[in-house]
Parts: sequence; C-alpha cells; structure tokens
Amino acid sequence: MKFGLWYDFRCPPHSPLSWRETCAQTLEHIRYAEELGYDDIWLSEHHFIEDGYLPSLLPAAAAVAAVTSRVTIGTNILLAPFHHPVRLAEESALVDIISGGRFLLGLAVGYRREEFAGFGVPRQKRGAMTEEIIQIVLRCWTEDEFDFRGQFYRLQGVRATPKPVQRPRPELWVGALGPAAVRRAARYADGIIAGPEQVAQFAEALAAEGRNGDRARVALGLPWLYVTDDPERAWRELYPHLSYQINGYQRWFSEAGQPIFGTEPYADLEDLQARGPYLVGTPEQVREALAQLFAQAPAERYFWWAIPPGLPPREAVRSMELFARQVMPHFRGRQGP
Amino acid sequence: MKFGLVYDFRNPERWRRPFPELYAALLEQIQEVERLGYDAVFVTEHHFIDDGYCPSPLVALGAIAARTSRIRIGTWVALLSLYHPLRLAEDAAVVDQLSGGRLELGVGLGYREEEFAGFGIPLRHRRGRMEEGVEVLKRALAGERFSFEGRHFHLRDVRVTPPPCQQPFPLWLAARSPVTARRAARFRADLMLVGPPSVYEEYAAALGAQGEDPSRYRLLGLLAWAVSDDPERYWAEAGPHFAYTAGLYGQWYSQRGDLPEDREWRQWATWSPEDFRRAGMVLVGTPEQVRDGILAARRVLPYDYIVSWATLPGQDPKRAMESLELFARKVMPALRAAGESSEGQP
Repeated sequence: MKFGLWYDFRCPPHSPLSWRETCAQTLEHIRYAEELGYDDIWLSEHHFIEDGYLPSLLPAAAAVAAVTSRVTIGTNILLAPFHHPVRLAEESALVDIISGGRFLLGLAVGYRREEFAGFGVPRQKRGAMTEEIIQIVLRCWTEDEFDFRGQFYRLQGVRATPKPVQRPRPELWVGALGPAAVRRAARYADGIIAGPEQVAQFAEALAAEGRNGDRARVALGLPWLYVTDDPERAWRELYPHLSYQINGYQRWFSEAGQPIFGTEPYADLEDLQARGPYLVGTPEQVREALAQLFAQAPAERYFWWAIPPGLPPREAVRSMELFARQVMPHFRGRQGP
Repeated sequence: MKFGLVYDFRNPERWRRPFPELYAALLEQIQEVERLGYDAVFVTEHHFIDDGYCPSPLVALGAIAARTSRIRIGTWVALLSLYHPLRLAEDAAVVDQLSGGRLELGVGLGYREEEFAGFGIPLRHRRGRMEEGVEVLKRALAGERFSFEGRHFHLRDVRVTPPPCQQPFPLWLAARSPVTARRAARFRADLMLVGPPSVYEEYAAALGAQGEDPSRYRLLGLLAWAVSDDPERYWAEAGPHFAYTAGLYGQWYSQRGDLPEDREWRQWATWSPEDFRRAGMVLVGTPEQVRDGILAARRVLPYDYIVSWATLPGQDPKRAMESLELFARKVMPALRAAGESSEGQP
C-alpha cells in the first residue's frame, strides 16, 4: 500500500504568496514529504486557470526529480490531447533518466471545455486521440524506429532518444471516470487512476481483454484528507481554501456535463461538511475512516491533495506530519491487493 | 560581457555511460559552474539522434532550475517549429517561475528533415509555424488573454498561467541567414547569432530601419574556447570529442542546409581532430591567449554573451572542469574588467 501526495501549484488571489514563492515552497514541501516517508508525488495539470494551476507537468516533474531521491514521481493526470505524443514520450523519458527511474506516466482525456477550445482540439475526438497518443508513447519508449499512420498522427521514422531507464519502460496508468476510459485502461495501462466505483469495472474490463482481472492495479483518489488535532478549528481555517477548490471542480465538471460534484455549488461550511468529499479528522478518526475505505475499495496506491489552494505550503505541513506519524504506520506492512 | 555554457547531454556510443549517471554528473557540473561565477547555462535541442542529444530542453531546465539559485538558464535553442507555441509558452513560464525569473528563451527554426517527419509536420510548414509561433509566444509570455487565428494554430481565449515571473520576458531568436535576422528584428527579439557577422549587420540594420537602437538589444554568439597551458595535450584528449560533435553538425547542415555555404560543411564529417585544430575552430590557449581571442571577437561584433561548450560529447565531465575552472578564475575577471572599461567609450 503506497501513500502519495497530489500537487497542483495553485496560487489563488487569496494567497499571500507570489507564484515564485509558491513554486519554491511547494518544492520544499515535496522534499519534506519524501523525508516523512510518503511514496508517491503526483502532479496535476490544467490550463488557463487564473490561479496558475500547473500546466506543465514534465518540467515540474524534472524539478521534483532534482530535489528528491526516493519517491515515485507521477503525472496525475496529464491531459493527453494537449500534448504531442512524440514530445511527451521524449520528455517522460528524460524525467525517468533524471530521476533515476522513478517516473510514472498517468494520463487521461481531459474534460474542461475551455481547454479544448483554447488549444483548438476537437473535444469529441479526445478519446480516439488519446488512444493514438498512448500507442505512440509506448512505441517511442520501446522501439528503435517506427512509422505511424493514424487518424490524428502520421509519423515517419520516429527514433525517440534517449530511451527511459526503466525496463521494459516506465509504467503507464490511465485515469478513468467513464466506461470508455476504463476499457482503454484495460487495453493499454499498467494501472488505473480512478474513484472507488471504477475498481470493480476495471477488473471486469481487464478480464474482457483477456488480462488477469485479479491483478487490477488501482491508484485511488481519496476524499480530501486533512489530519488535525482540532477538527473544528481546522474546518474553520480551511474553509476558504476548500470551498475555493471544490467549487472550482464542481463548476468545471458541471460545465463539462459530468456533474460528479453535483449541479450546485457548495453554499457554506455546513453544506461542505454535509455533502463535500473532504475528510477532516483526528488521527484516530482518519484511521477508522480509512480502514473502512481500504476494505471497501482496495487499491495499491492512495493519494490526496497536499496543499489546500491558497494556504502557503509552509503552513500546510501539520496534516502531512500527523498522517505520516500517526496514521501511516498503522497501515504499513499490510499487503495491497 | 557575460559568459554562458552550452549543454547538449549527448552520450555517444563510443564513450557511453549510463544516462542517469551522465545527467547526474552534468547537473553537478552546472552547480559547480554556478559557484565559479558563470552567468548562464543553455540547453540545446535535437531529436532522434543516436547519442541521445537532449530533445527536451525545458524539462532539463526544470531540473537545473531546482538545483541552482543564481545562474541564468536558457535554451540555445528550442526548435519552435516543432512545438505547439502555446505549450512551449506554458513550459517556459513554469520554468521561469521555478527558477525565480532566470529563464532566457531562445527559439529557432530547426532544419533536420528527420525531425519534422517524425513529428508529422511537413517541412514546408516550418517558416509559417515559426512566424505564427513567435507571435503566439510573444503574446502568451506577456501574460495577456488572447485568441489567435492562423494557418497552423487556432487558439481561443487563452492565457498562460502562471505567467512568466519576468516582465517583459526575455525572448531571443536564433539567426543564420538574412531572412531570419530580419525576422528577429521585426519581432523585437534579442539575437542568438549562429551565422557570419553579416547576419548581425542585417539584424542591426533592420532594427535601425524600425527606428530602434540595436545596442539596446542583446547579442549572443558561440565561440568555442578551452583554457590549457598545453594545447598538444588538449587536442590529444578533447580532439576526438570535438571532431565527433562538429562532424555531426557538418553532416546535418550539409543534408538540409538553408545557405549555400552549408554544403561546404560536409567536409567536417570526414575531418580529423587535427583538421579542426588547423582550421582554428576552437580557441585553445593560455588564459591570456583565450582572453585576447575573445577580445578580438568582440571588436568585430558587440557580443553581450559569449557561449562555449561545457563538456564535449563523450568527454569526462570531471576532465572538462579543468578548463572551465581556469577560464572562470583567470579569464573571466580580466574580460569583465575590459568590458567595463570599454563601456563608457562611444
């Protein structure tokens, strides 16, 4: 069972920091996470968001690689349709080299309409495009030379170098919220990045592909997890950051026609506590809630947001410490599925 | 005058070491040259080369940004025609923020046919992509929200966030020909000169014709140097590595050169280290000789930046340090003093 922290490098208007300070403090935060024993550092991608939501995962992943020595560095989730597959394969290989073989590529199709319109990429073709992108990336990593003739890409004499360090190649995980993406993951991916509902679907889809459904590898996004000695106070202090975050996702997914966070924004603290996806609790409460969740939705890796957007990273270390010291040891040593 | 070092992260078969080891050693070297007082390190870009020539300079710079704190970091040069310009702008902005505002973005056209074929981009589109690409880059890096309707790129209501830390953002264009020199002037970009002095004259004249003062724009040029009291020994050791790198460039330029003289470079592919030495392609000498050589180059053109190779392909990074250290200790201070004393003159 691996525990990972998820980073977006956001710096909303209510943050007291500049982007530059946010970047510097976030790298410090990541270094500290490694020291505390976390297994995975995940980076999240979005474009054109006013708060500077990280649009460039691979350069940032290289920076993370340069300041860490043990953690796995994963993209979660890289939005494939906005990347040229050959360049994506080359950049990933380079991060794999710089990190000494610690890179994991997680990708998905994307959903925000503004991003597709912004890049001039047809949104309705995103699934088919991603399919070709996956095929090309895998071939770049493992074949000396190849040609590719698809609907979106016609490539001749691709000889991607240097190759990644990991043999036969870095792991490819696919983010999946819908059935088509789950099937795509079952066709190509080493694992799936998803929510609890997709775990069973993935095992079935693997079996349908003739792969062993019992060996389904899953990275599960947990509800926002915040460990504190004083939950009531934490809720009050975190509220501006959490409501900023969740109402952003609520709006983006609603606008994309996938209202996974409902069709209405979260009105206030009470509403957020009642129906929001956050788990704010004492180490003991969190241990109990997670024991239950781990039993219901067994996974190889779990991850959650590292820093509430707007809270300076330096002030966002208490929860990470409490989890590492008082929750993590409780689950360590247990075997994943 | 500022001094930069170029990194291509090449790892030729003949001298191959594991890639992670090479990158680790060169990242360490970059930290060392920062301590020695160099002004900048630049990363180059090419694709599909057997020796692993760095294809992703912005990714390498992400790592370099995290390991350094003062030195400027840049691309020399990113092959803009092979990028989506908005993605390049996003990467550049993130690297600029990660480095605390230390990025110098140099972009060029690219020329190797294999690279365009592998990316599925028709070679005949490269000038159009470059023109549109620079326009998109300039608007994107200024941090504005904009739409763009071109032949190659269609962007609607986009804004690069985070924007770069530096405003105005330092954008350079590489030029080898009068056409590219005029383009650099038209876009009001600084100049990375990879051609003869006449290309700079063209650039300066074009700036002048726009009513601008060329001395307000920066000029960067490559002048390969090596400090050594014993040129015999230098060429014995480094010669094969230099011949390797120059030979490949000669081959590429001759295959798909934009300029008539490119075809003559084909001979480099068959030159021995001794031939390069006779042709004076590397300024090798004592600290005084190297200083005088650079001063002579600066009398021809008003360089703001002189760049040289840090470690040649296959060369042991530790061995390369000897010359880099001598240059930093004995040549840089003298050149900086000379630069200061001449700056007050008309």
